[in-house]
Amino acid sequence: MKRVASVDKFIVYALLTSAILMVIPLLIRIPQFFLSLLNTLMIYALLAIGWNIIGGYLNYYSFGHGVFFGIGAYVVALLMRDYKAPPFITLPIAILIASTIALITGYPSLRLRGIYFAFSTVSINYIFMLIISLAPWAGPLGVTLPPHPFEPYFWELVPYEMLLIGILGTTLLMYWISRSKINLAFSAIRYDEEAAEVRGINTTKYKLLAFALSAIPPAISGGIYCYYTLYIDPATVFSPQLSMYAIAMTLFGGTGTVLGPIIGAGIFIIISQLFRYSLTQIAGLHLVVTGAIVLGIVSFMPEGILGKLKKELRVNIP
Amino acid sequence: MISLVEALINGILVGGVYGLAALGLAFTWKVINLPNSAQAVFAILGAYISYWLFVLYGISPFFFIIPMGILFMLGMLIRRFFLFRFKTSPAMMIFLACYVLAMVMENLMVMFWGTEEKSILLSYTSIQISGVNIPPIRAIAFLICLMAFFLFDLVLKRTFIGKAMRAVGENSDAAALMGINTEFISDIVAGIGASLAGIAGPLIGVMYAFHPALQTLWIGKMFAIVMLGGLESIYATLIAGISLGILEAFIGLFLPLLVSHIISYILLLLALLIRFRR
Repeated sequence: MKRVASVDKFIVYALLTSAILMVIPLLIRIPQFFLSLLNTLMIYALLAIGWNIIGGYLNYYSFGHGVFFGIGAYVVALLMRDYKAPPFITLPIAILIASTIALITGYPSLRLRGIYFAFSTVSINYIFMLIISLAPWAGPLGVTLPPHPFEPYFWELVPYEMLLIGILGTTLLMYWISRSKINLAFSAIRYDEEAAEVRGINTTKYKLLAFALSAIPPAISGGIYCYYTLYIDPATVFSPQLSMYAIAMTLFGGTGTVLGPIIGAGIFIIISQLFRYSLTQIAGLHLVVTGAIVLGIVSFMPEGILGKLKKELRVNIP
Repeated sequence: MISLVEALINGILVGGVYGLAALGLAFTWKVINLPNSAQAVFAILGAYISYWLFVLYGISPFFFIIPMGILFMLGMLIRRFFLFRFKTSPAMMIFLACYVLAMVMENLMVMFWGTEEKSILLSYTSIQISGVNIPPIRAIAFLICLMAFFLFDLVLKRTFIGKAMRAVGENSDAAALMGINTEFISDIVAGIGASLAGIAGPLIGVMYAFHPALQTLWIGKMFAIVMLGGLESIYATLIAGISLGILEAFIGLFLPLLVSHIISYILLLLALLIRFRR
């Protein structure tokens, strides 16, 4: 019997899982709370996937990766407000603009290493927050969009489907990259940038490529977030807290793996939402607990869940 | 014209406090490779301590021994029981750990003392020199900062433990071979770094209103000053702080408030791109 060689197991599983997840809420009415939890989870998961490309594969920790989330959100919001453009048009434009901005800001800042790169990205995040707040077409009060014309259940469902497609697309893209020659260059840069350069890898090119790619998932996420909540303001979408969460989730799941950010985001969001609703009597307590969890991850398990599994069980998870 | 002179004086006076706030960060970063992003939280905590001492017991906020002592113990304990894990890990992970630590401490403060703004209200009569107002509290704060810088320099250059600290900062392994207990000295360094926030914090509390979430604003300023001044000289930090203060004061005259908040980040980016680009 002839084997079907070209189709990978991972791709089949990914397509199957997302197809099932896509169809279920169409057939059964899932409680709205649950759907909104999943939406939050996937918004953060996309952010973490984006961070993982630059932070996990290249070990360039971007502490201001939320800037691309904000840019995506603002592009979609402004196009929706001024031209009534549907998300099929606005999301690709958001991706394009975010990647271009990543190329422009990455060119100087990717020449910095380690902690200095982190500071530069934080600064860029704040500078964009300032630009948006001072711009006459946006302002510090944010943008409010008109409500959707369809019934409330679909307010949750439509972003849900869009987010699923986004996660599927970016995950498959990451899987393809992790199998291709690009990943070899990425690992070479991660382990020793000077050596990679000496061996003839164009490090600037690959770093810029990774940064531009890493801007795509947050831009999608931000765009859908804006379509979902219908209200954004610069303090929320450019919050450095977002980048912090993306880093924590990716570290939790496992840096430099395809599925790590998604798993990390899943566990992290479920835990933090659980604390948020159970520890309501004292303000700020749930953030203390969440922070303590992150501290635990950083100090005891820096390789993450998938990294640990790979090492202990010797299983090969992408 | 008068407003320009006043802005200049204000900037210099405030800049001294900025410099002192950043000094602890520069010191721990240089000596034990600890870019302590929780330094701003320490400062806000110091402000809270002196606020409660002032409100409950009427102790003057310029009586720095108590906040300094508490923060010294806190910084030392955090180094001893938590941050020592990251001794060999890259600066990135230490920065991340401190950042999360800062988040936890910020929210602990929110838990205990709420999010409303506090300020330590002192009343002094204003000084006027040929029509130019000099805010008295800021002048006192500036003088205290200068004194703190001078004393710190003296401790570092003239005492035995200061010599040990400089040795650890220069080469930790060689210092260990010379019989210095580097672990102990590192703890002391972390403690001193935090206790500098015990001076800067009350001064911040005296000069401005404060609340826990303000630490994100202050940490940006501190890192900008440290990157601008470098890690090599103590007085460079003071000068960098004063420059940032003057810049903010002049920007505050002409542009919206938000710009003067973000200017430290723009300065940080420029300093990084000029100094560390490859």
